[in-house]
Amino acid sequence: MPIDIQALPEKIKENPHWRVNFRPTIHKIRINEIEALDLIKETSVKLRGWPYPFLSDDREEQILEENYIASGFDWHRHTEYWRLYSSGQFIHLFQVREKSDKDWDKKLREEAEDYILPFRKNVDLAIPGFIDILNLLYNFTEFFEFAARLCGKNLYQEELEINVELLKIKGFALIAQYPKLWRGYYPATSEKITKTWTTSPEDILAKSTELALEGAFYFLERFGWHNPPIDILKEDQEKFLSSKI
Amino acid sequence: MGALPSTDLKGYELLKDRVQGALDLLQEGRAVDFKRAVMWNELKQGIPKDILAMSNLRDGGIIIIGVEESDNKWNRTGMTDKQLNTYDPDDMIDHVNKYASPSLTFDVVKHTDNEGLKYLVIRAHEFEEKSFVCKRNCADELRQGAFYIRPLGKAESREVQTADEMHDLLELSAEKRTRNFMRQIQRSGFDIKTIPFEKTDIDKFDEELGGL
Repeated sequence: MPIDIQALPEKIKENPHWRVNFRPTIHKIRINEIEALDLIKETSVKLRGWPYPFLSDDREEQILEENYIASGFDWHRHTEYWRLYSSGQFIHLFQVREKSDKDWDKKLREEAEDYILPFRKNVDLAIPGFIDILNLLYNFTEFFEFAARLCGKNLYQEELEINVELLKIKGFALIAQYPKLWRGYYPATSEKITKTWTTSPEDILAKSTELALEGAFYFLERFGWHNPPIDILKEDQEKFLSSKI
Repeated sequence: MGALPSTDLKGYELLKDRVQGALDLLQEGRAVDFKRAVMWNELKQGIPKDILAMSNLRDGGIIIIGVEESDNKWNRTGMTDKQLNTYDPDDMIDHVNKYASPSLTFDVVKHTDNEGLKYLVIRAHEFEEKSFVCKRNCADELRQGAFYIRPLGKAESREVQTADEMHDLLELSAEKRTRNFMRQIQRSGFDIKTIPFEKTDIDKFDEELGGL
């Protein structure tokens, strides 16, 4: 399945997508491309069907440039592209899977009949897509777990900035799949939700799960879902991290 | 005899996703191992090594039984009910723990793919703080005192062979202890100072992104 890796970022950016960016304080050479490849292999988070980030074994899906390595994938249910620079900067773009995976989108639309539609006033206005609440939590958990693993490997020794964005999602509604019984209509009212953390490697190592929860809550609240059930989400996160799901 | 749960049950959603992803890709890796469909007795001798190795791997791994290699490619064959019925999770865990120190645990789950083929999935969990060592010899398969790993970039289970591999295993263990230690420090209210964020390099980071 040969793909044009360099064309992937534009394709992803045209659709609803996540953008995740880690950058340290000081711009300097921290790692060469071979070390970077091994680092990704050793630190990618494999808690569910798809590693975060995904490094293809196919050389056609890897790029080794002078100042970064990159990989991309566009197949089946996943479209993503990432780079790790020799400076330690990491950028990852990936499509909102709830939308790009047609089967999942269809399933969520069916669930929305019970979970969302009874709470809408203007039922004629189509919902363009959905954000699964647990998937959002798992995404954040993977972002911060990956950051913690990079810190654990001493890629970052000083403060770093972590920025997470969810883009092109105006009108997307939060949804919880059965057996969760969270009902209500919580749509995104803008195209973009973004949050940046400036934090230390020590903080990330110590509090990656808390930071991930904080990020998930921030995003859920931007959809208008206030006071999400913290204990339940925390429990779900613990199960996710211990591979008990 | 312990009953085999299914990936269709509540609580196994992400494992199902992980197994289906591996079956879609049909590619072995460090964290994914395929075995041809056999009865438990045929697999019994070799499986402790794979489980020990995957339990020493970050995030653990999955072994899917019911995928066969022929003509240099993997084919989904699934398992018969007769084969599946020979697997008892309690027996399997007891058997593997004859060779594992400290004791380990793993999940044994049935999976049915979208074509109706059945598989047995073993999910090995990553160690907590101490990596697993083999505590007993077993024919030519296992050696007492050996650490088994899944080497970087390879889909095989074998003993640690190089200083780098031993270092990686110890480093993973050390990283876990460090993170636990950092959590304890944070909870105790200590504040560890790091170099403050300098805004001056932001332009350089933006520039290298090239608009991404």
